[in-house]
Formats: sequence, C-alpha cells, structure tokens
Amino acid sequence: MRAVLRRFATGGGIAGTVLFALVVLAALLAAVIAPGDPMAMAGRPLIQPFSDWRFPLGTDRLGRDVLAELLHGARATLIVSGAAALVTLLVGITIGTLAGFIGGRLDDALMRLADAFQSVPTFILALAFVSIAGPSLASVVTAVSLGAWTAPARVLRAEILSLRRREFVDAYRVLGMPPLQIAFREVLPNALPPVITLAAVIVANAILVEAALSFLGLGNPNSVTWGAMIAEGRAVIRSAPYLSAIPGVAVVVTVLAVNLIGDAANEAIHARRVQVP
Amino acid sequence: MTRILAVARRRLLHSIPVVAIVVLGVFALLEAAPGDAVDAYLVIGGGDAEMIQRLRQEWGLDRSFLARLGAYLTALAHLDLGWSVAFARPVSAVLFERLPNTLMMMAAAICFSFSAGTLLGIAAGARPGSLRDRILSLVSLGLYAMPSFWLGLMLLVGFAVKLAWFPLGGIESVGMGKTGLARALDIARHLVLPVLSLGLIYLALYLRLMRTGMIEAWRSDYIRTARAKGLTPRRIAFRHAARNALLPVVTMLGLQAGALLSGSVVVESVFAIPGMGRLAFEAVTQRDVPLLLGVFLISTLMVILANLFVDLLYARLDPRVAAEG
Amino acid sequence: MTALLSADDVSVAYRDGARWLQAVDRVSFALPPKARLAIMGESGSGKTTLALAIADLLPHDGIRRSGAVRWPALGGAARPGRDVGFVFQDPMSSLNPVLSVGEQIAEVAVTHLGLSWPAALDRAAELLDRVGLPRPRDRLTSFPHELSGGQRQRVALAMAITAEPKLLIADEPTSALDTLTQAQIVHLLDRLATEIGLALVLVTHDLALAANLAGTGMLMYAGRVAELGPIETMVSAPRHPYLQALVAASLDPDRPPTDRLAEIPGIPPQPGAAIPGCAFEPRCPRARSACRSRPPGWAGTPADGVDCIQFDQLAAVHR
Ligand SMILES: Nc1ncnc2c1ncn2[C@@H]1O[C@H](COP(=O)(O)OP(=O)(O)OP(=O)(O)O)[C@@H](O)[C@H]1O
Ligand SMILES: [Mg+2]
Repeated sequence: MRAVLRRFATGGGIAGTVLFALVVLAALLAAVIAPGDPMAMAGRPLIQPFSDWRFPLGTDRLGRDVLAELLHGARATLIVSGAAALVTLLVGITIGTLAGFIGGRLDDALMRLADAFQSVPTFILALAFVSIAGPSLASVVTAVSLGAWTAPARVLRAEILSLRRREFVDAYRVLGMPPLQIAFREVLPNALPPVITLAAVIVANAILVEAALSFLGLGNPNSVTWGAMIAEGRAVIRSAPYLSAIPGVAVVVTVLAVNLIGDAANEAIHARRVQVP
Repeated sequence: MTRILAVARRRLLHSIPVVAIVVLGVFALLEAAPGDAVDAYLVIGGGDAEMIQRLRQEWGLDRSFLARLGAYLTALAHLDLGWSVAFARPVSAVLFERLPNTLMMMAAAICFSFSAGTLLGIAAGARPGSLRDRILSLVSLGLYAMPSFWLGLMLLVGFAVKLAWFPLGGIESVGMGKTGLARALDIARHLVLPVLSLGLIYLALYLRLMRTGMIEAWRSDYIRTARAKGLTPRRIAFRHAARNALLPVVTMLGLQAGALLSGSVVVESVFAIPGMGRLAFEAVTQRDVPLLLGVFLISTLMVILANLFVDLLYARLDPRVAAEG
Repeated sequence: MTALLSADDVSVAYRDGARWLQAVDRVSFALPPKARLAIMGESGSGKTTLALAIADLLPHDGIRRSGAVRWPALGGAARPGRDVGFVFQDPMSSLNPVLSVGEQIAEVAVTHLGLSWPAALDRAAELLDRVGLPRPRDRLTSFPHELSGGQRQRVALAMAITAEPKLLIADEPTSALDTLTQAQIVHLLDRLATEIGLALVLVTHDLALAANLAGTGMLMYAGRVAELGPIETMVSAPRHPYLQALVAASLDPDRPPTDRLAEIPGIPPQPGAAIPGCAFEPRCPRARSACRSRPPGWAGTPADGVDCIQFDQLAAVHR
C-alpha cells in the first residue's frame, strides 16, 4: 500500500490532489465565506470582477454574488458527482459480480444489456430520463449513473473471470472453503482495485454530464450549479463574458484535478500489478 | 476479404439483441412518460371526452400492454416513429430533416479530431519527456477537462463576437441565395466553431492514446528490425510505428460517435444549429416525448452502425482479428 | 586483405538510474570479407549489445559509447539493411504484426535497390523461394501470425539478405525454435552465406554450432572478450579458464543435449559492479591473489589471444 502511495505521489498526482482539495475546501467553506442564500440579490447587477472588494468575482445580471454562487456550486457539483459515482459503482459492481460469478445465460443477458446501454449516447439518455422523471437531485444522479455503470461492470467481470482461473482459487477450493466465501472474501477484494481507479473517470464524467444538464436547465432546481451559471451568463455574453467564463473555469479545474488523480492512481496500481504477477 | 465479411456477419448478429433491447427500452420509457400521446395532443388541440375515447381507440392506446407493444413495433417497421405534437408532423419527417446537419457536423468533427489528434500524438510520442511532448500533454489534459458547450461559448465570444472571424450561429447565412460552392463555403464557415468545440475534446483523447501507442511502438522489436533494414525515418515512424499505434485509437472512434451525438445537443444549442441534437432539446422543452425518444432511438441506431463500421475497419487494419470466435 | 569490419575498443554502457551499466567493455576484433565469427557467452555477457553496436542499431538515449567500428572494405560507414543484414532472436516480435510478409521484404528492395513496388514484390517472392518457403507467391500476402516460428525466421532471413549485404549478423537466430527447425535454419544460413558471399557474425550459446559454422570464435564474459581465436583451437585447446570449464562441461556425457552454453558453477558479476581485478576471478579454479587486485591484460595478437593474467605473464617473459 505504501509503495502504491509513493508511486501515486508524482507531479500529476500531487497537483490533482491539491486542486481537488481546494475544490472540496471551497465546498466546505461555502456557508462560512458566503453565508445566506447564494441565489438572492446581493448588490448592484453586473459588477465587473476585481473591481469591488465586496464582490471579488463581480455580480451577475440579477445582482447575485458570483463568488458565493461559485462556492455553493462547488458543493452541488461534489454532491451530485459523488453520489453519481457511488451509485454507478454500486450498480456496476453488483452487475459485474453477478455476471462474473454466475456466468452462463445470466452473464450473456447482462452483457447484452451493457452493450445496449453503451450504444445509447449517454447524454441523450440522461436528457430523456430527466425530462421524463422531472429534474431533481435524484433524477440527475440516476441519469448520470444510467450511462456510466457499464464500465465498472465490465471491468469487474473481466477481473473476476481472470482471477477465477488463478491457482489460489483452486487452492481454497481444495481446502474446502465454500464457493460463496471464496467469491466474496478472496476473489472480490482482489478484483476491486482496477474498478476503484475507474471512480475518477466516473466522477469526471458525472461532473461534465451534470454541468451539461444544468446548462440546458435540467439540473437540480434547488441549488446553484456551475452549468446553470454558465447558461445564465449567456444572456449577457457580449457585455459580460466573465459570467460564463468563471464557472466554466471551475468545471475545468475540477475535472482536471479528478483526471490527474485518476491517471496517477491508475499508474500506481498498474505498476503494482505488473510487479506481482 | 472473406475474413472481413465473416467479422461483419458476426458483428451484425451480435447487434440484433442490442437493437432489440434498445427498442424495448424506448417503448418502456414511452409507457413510463406521464400522460399519453392523446393527452399531449389535447393540450394543443383541445377536445371532448368522446373524441378522447375515439383517439385512444384509433391509436390503440386502450389496448393491453402487449398489443400496444405490437402496435409500436409494427409502426417502427414502417419507419413510423409516432406523431410530434410540437411540430404537428410525423416524428420521422422532422428527424430526417434535421439529420443531415448533425451528420455533417459529426463527420467534420471526427475527421478533424482523428487526423489532428493522431498527428500530434505521433509528434508527442516521438520524444517522450521533451518540451514539445510536455506542452502537448498539458494542452490535451486541459482540453480533455472542458465541457464542450463551455468551450463553444468561449470560442463564440473570442472568434465570433470579439474578432468577428466567424458567424455567431446557424448553419448558413439566410436569405443570401447562395448556391453551389459559395453555399458550401458558407456552411463550412458556420461549422468551424461548432466542429472545434465538439472535436477538440476528442482530439485530446486521440493525442493521448496515440502518444502512448507510439511510445510503446518505439520500444518494440519490430521497430528495431525496421531500423536494421535501413528504412527511412519517415517510413519507420508512419508505416511501422504509427500503423500499430493507430489500433487502440481506432477502437475509440465508435465511442466518439456516441459522444458526438451527446455533445451535439449542447453544441447545437449554443450555435443555434438546426440539427438533431437541438431537436432533442426542443423536444424536452416542449414536452414532446415521442419526438425525444425518436431522436434517442435514431441516435442509438447510428451509434450501433458506427460501431459496426469501426469493428470492420479494425479488422481491416489488424490482420490478427480472427474470422471466427 | 582489407578487413570488412574492424572494431577498436568498442565500449557501451546503459544508463540505469544514476549508474551506468558497462555492457560491453573495450572489445576489439577484425573481420575479413566472407569470414565468419561466432560470439559466445552466457546470458548478459553483452553479445547482443556488441552486435547492435557493430550494426549501429543501439538506441540513442540512455547510452554511452566509445571506440570505433570501421568498415575499411566498404570505404565508409556501413548502411544498415544495405551493407549489413540483421536477424534477431525472436522471430515473432521482430516482424511487424500488421504488415504483410511481402511488404516487409519488398520495402527493403524499394529502399535500397530503388525497385518499384511491383518489382520489389517479385523480388520478395524470389527471396521467399530462396529461403525455402513453399508457395512463395501466396505467402506474400500472409501476415506474421499466420506463419510458424521457423517460417517467420526464414522471412526474417529473406528480409536481411534482400539487398545482398556484405555482412549478416544473426543474434541467436535459432534459440526460439525447436531442435529440428534449428538445424534447418542453421543449414540455410550456411548455404546462403556461401552462395551470396556473406561475412557472418553469429551470436550463439552453442559451442558445437559455433565450431560447425564459424572460423573464428569470440568468448565474452561480463562485457569483455575472454578469448578470441580460430574456433578449432578454442574447442580443442581452450586457454582461458572459463573456456576450459565450458568445454569440459560440454563434453560431459551426463549433460543433456541443449542449445544453451554449458553451465559452470557460480554466477557472473552484478552488472554495474566495480571490479578492480578479473571479473571471472570469483569462479576461476586457477585464481590467484593477483587476479583480484589488477585487471588482466590481453595476451596474444589482436586476432588470437586470451584475457587472462597467467598468459599475460607468459607473454611478458617472451618480450
Ligand atoms: N536496453 C537496455 N537498457 C539497460 N540495460 C541493458 C539494455 N540492454 C541490455 N542491458 C544490459 O546489458 C547487459 C548485456 O546485455 P546483452 O543483451 O547485450 O547480453 P546478451 O549477452 O545478449 O544476453 P542474452 O544471452 O541473454 O541475450 C545486461 O546486463 C543487460 O541487463
Ligand atoms: Mg542477447
């Protein structure tokens, strides 16, 4: 484990962790730095950034504090993407485990289902789902997970299939360990690391899908989101492009951080797996 | 050639259950949507209880679930995707009118991101760790983290609003009566920014994949053989190294088809392009479920077709893909 | 006669983190046209590195090299593929998996002989026939994975001789093959070298094969030449204690017939280790205290000699 951490601590891994920590900090401190309702009018509309110390990032068309919106948006982004990643991993792990361990007809059926889900353009699927189920936190989370569960399911299934062929599984079988115990105590824990590294990809994707949904007005209507801020800025894009630019930069920084962490984690874990065949 | 045909046959057979699942899924969503087609129709037209009854009967909505499914499948077989309330026209008519614009945009975006991405990936992978490689890797990381609609907006602000190099939106200048080459050029000018916003992200992905592939290829024995044969550096880089590094990139093309269709929803909205993506959004805002699911179905079929094509291309590029198995 | 190839104090080191691993250490020899040299030595002794250095195929990064490889008979540098052909050890990985056999041979003819592609493909078919592949025309469109190991090595051989080079370097061309195929490939190598008038550098583990095929033998140990000379005398009257041990072990009737160099007790020094004396000293049955403190000197002529202190002293007395 320590070796994995050491390999993780490369330039990219550290930069990603620091950036992501900043986003988390922003989300945690949102209520402290910018107490009150971020959607309420706070001052004169359309104050330029860096011109008024009370509104470091300026105000929008309706006089809302951009900084406050940005901080609260970090919270919304982290909640949605975190929840989506959790749901995706849970669904993916469940389906991957079923397909890998039970095999046969069930495996075939589940894999065809995965094929079908992978053929649907994810965002159009999310759009259709949210528009039918109505926009809410739960529907956005579900919509994101619908398009993403196939990757962890497939990876886990492949891992399980390859682990099941290894000698140590035979050894446990010879020792008389019951199959279910072998499956959940010995095989699954060994199959999980590559699935966990997928978490970064899932989170990054969730952030982007959520932003796009919010941009189209289909995000969680009860919270400020970066996507909605970008959409809001569109109305005055000629005179105040910063209103769309700033939340977009926040999205890019967050996704970049998550991708950097994912790359570093992937490399760290991959190196370990190469060493111990 | 027989090998490729065998691969085609296998992949086609494989697609059948996938298409079936998708069609069933769309039908399930149609059923799950609040209200049925008659409700939606009445919102626009209005009508009395008797008319409701008659319409329900006419459209088969009062029948059992299985009968409704049967009716839906029969209609699908006749390319009938239902009635779009928002446009007061058949869904298929609206769809096929919008399709060419999206296809054109997608084709341009794929060509752009694939060619530029692989070329830059070759350049970056030639000397890993060099300044050029670091800069390219950083740029691709940044691009890869960008939401396409935001990239589109920023390009719009920079190149259409501030610099006025490109039009603000639309697919072509209206009312100018341009024809032939002039019209093609006009459309091309309109497509530059949307294609960039869609393509740059995948360019980043191709660059990264190609870079990794090239680094791996340079280390392999067959490159040492190529050098021992005294081939020109150009031939070694392109015919031997890049040809192998290309394989993982090609597998991504199928994925990109889906991502482009997804991206076209937001990008067409940003650039006001009357394509299929914007149609999906219009269907959402007008609560036109049959239209939305029509877009859903057609775009999924397009992705399945694209993947079929990519599989064949891959089999063509990699002789090790076996005919059977 | 002007030598085809002469190597003077060729040294190669690989970078390993902060250290340098000396893979080849001041190797000198000369090879007349059409002559045959067998390079022997255990794994890691630097045979491949030396062969690559001769053909100028070493990677550019992470390498430190010195000394000179000259080509007097060519009147200039040797061009890889044109003047030197190279056959590698693993016939699977050394062929490009996604290009047809025909293209991989023909491209050499296009590059070096200036042939058009159709003519080059004709030439490729002739070459495939010459290396003994049945139905050569049909084979042009085959891919490497469709061939057996022996067939692939024949293709590699065809590629290497396409431009009729002056020298063919074969790095353990048969160790990835089964015994029967090995014999066929060795026979083919011998025949082609004679027909085309090739000089041959053969890297091998097999003392008997070396004696069969080559006129000169070179035994390497830890990057240095341990013994160099006519191969018959090396086998019949080995001088270096290492070679003596090897010959004795290979004559052992209990030893199963293998293509590997006979095993002798002990292990070679760690690559990169600083050795003040003779690298073979820890394993040498005739080692003395002097062997540990100073490096052995070359005893003999540049074409025939031993890298051992005992012979060095003898030579000193003669001088
Ligand atoms: N690319 C490389 N980078 C670093 N070290 C290398 C490299 N290639 C070879 N070496 C090292 O150089 C030394 C000599 O290697 P070389 O491949 O020349 O030996 P060899 O005699 O051909 O061995 P074998 O019989 O196993 O093929 C070895 O210690 C090896 O580990
Ligand atoms: Mg070797």
